[in-house]
Amino acid sequence: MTFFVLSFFLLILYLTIVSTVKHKGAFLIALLGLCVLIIGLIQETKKLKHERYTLARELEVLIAIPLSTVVTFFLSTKIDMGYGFLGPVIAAGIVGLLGSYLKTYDLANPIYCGAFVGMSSAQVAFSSFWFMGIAGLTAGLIFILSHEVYNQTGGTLGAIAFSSVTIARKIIMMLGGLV
Amino acid sequence: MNPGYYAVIAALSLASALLTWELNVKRGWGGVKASSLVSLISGLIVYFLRINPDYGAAVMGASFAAMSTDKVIPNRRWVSICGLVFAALFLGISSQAFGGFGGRLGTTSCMSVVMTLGLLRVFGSHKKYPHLLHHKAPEKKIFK
Repeated sequence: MTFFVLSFFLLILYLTIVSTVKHKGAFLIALLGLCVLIIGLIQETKKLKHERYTLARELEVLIAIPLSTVVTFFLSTKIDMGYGFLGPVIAAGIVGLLGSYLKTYDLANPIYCGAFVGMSSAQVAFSSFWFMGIAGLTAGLIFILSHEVYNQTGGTLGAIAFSSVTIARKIIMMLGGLV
Repeated sequence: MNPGYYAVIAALSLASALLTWELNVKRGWGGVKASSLVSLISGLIVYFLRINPDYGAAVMGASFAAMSTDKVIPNRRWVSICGLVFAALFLGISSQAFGGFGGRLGTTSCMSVVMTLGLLRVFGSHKKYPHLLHHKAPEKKIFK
């Protein structure tokens, strides 16, 4: 199920690229790219397995992702070193690097995933740490559900982050925004 | 945009993908450490030298793609292809489309890896990378 959710967001983003292409030749290349993307997605379906994390691991993930999200968002939008705010690339780099040294808990992947969620701009996040917490929790849930989906494929964490930010933002907007 | 911008983005993506993959797979650092270090260094250079932030983003995105293990992307040639596919997607996506959404860069890199898998399926030698196509490799007969 989560495989289809993540693939859906991949296709949505790709289709936005195709829709913005104006040149005819580039459009044909983009359509060829779509075929290649679909072949790749079919390849990925062959790897799917049904496995679950243990309860303790799920709890660790659900705590680590929102925490790293909030820390990244704070570093990205509130810390200024004299050249403007640090920005998402440095913030996610710092959090990811620190996470990779937490060897006792093996939380490098969840922490880096949370850092991606925290790379959102203040405008998207309604300048709210609460929104980031909610988006981080959503990412935690998707992370748990997507165990063994896109396994060992680079960018999976980003796809999880993107889908969680989009879903959390949609839900918050449907509920009438943050109070 | 001028062609110089496209060339720099393509070169940076290629270099970042190769460097991250080298650290991740060949040096055994693991994906997160390799990618975050490459991104952090590029981010700091862009921040302190006040260069176009797109360059930092391109380096970071390509390093996400190179977090794939050698079970997904088998060798340096395919990593280079993956880096270039990422650069094309990065240049193709307009800043208005989901701009500022966290994970957009990662999703673009995931897309580039999946497209590389598709290209590998179409153009890659099946005999060379049997484990990628999820068939068992033919057992070698050993004659004593």
